[in-house]
Amino acid sequence: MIKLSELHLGVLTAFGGIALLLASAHFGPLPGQAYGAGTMPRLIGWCAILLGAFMIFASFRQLPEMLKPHLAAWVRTPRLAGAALATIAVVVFYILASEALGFIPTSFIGLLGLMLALRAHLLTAVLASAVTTLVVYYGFSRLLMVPLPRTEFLSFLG
Amino acid sequence: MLIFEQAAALVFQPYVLGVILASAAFGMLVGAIPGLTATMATALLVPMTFFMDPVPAIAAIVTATAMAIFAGDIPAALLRMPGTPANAAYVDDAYKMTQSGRGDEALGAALVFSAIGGLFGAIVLMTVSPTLAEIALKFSSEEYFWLVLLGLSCAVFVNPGSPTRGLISLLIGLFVATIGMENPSGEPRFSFGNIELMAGIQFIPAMIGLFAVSEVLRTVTATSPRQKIQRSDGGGIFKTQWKNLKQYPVQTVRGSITGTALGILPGAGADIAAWISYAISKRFSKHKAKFGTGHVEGLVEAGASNNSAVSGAWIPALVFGIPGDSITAIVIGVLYIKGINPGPTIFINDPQTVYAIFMVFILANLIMLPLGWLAIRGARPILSIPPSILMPMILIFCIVGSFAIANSMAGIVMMLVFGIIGFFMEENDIPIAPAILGMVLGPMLEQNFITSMIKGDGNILHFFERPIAGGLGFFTILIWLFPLAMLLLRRRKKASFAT
Repeated sequence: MIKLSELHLGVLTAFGGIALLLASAHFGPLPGQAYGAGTMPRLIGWCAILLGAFMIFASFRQLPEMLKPHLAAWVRTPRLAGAALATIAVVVFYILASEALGFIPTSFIGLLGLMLALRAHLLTAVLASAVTTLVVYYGFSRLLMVPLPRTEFLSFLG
Repeated sequence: MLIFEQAAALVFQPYVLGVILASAAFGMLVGAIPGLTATMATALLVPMTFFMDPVPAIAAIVTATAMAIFAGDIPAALLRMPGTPANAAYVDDAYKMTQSGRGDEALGAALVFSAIGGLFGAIVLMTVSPTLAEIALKFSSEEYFWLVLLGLSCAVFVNPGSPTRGLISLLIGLFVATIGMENPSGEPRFSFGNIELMAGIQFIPAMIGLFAVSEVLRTVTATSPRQKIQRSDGGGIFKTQWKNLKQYPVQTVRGSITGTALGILPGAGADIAAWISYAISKRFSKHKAKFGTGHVEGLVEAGASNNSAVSGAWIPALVFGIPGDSITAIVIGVLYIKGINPGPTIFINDPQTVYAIFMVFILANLIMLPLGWLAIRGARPILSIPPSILMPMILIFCIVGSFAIANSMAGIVMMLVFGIIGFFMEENDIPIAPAILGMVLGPMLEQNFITSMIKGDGNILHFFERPIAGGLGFFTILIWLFPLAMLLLRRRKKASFAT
């Protein structure tokens, strides 16, 4: 991930403010009043533009340094970048697959995959994934009555 | 007296006491794991509290946070890895004490003075809150507007980091709070026709994402490996604390007062309280040079301070409905879900619940001593769970917790989005706390601002017409002008030095 300088952040903030002003332009006021749904977003937008402008102005003194993009150390290390992507991928996998597969298989596969991606020992990862899945399933589904996704597959466990 | 009896009946039940014990153990566990904060313990507890009555739900959060902040001292002393940001101020002293074979004295001091600070804060909470609530009943939209703005300003300017980045965080939080239909005209804003977004951003999944998922991402991308656990000397944990108490009574009281005061200040919280108390301790110490080299004095003062801030933060939360820190921000959400409206009327409508909360504070800080002793003894196995196993476990807990809020996948999507935003923010040194306060206080700020503007017919001076509103407004503007004044002063000094 790129580490942003004060200048980059200033530009982003100012643009965010402009986008907010444009997006809130169509919000009408309360009947018979000058204020309504658009007042607060517009105020936030103006604050963001002013803050962005201040940050851009304040970074002019160190301009060459501020323009350089700095990559975080982990981005340049394939193993760590992979670990970050695997973490996000597990959540996406759960969102997409849990309704079809049910909680137990999705959680077990997700946990095992992530533990292995983080270089855990295979046997430890299998055991930890199985125990965590069952503890979370029984804790939430049975004790707290949360309707976790269920399918016929492995339904004898629940 | 009847209210006290009713409150005691609410607290002293086997179920509530069981919840207190279990959440104490949970808080110890979370606090003792480096990187997991007391706020995260609270966020992870929220899905559980959905299934509890108000008193056990609040008892669980109060106990877990108090324990987590103390337990954060365990990895701080053993590994030089503060368990929570509130333990970071004195980590060098605690770690160097361990290195020199005084690990048990360091952890014992952290435990005993945390309990003393927590009890002090709880007593102030019990005595000051009802009086403040009576004053707060006279507040109108102008006072509330300034009070909210004061809290948001403190979150930005009292933080040790850059104020500009704090402001970015605050604006992100305020923007997130505008999403949905909850606004003066009930018009859907920034929802893009999505029904889930029309109801606004779900606070708890966002919170779990910002704190827990971002922390998981930070841990898995950490470039430096964990250090090996140091050997403890095995001496008595409580043995030297009486001597410390006799030697540092002023530091203990000063730390407790500072912590409570900073806890009351909306937006400050335990992290800042610990840093400021450590700095005060060093400033007034006769042994300034010993600070940072394994000296217990700073640990005594800052240890008392961070736990008293936890109690202090509940004062604005209960009295005004304005959170003192990110933990009470979550608590306010839980109270609303439970049908209890924090604010001055809670002392009239629900006094037994308020007094039950006070009792829980006392219980939590007393129970901390035996449980803390056990936690110090049993810390090693917890600390030795490798991150490659622990982080996926936390992630699945986050997923299920976010799902449980509304039994919908939208909660998990929000958690992931906010997790990535939180990770990006922390990578760029943008603090998360102002964003959280912005999300919580945004609707209150908007409502009071619009109401006051309509009342004053658009006249800004109307915000200063009532005496308390005027005073609060003046104080808030002073906080905004302070960094500017400091900047000008620094420039003038530089210029005079150059000439």
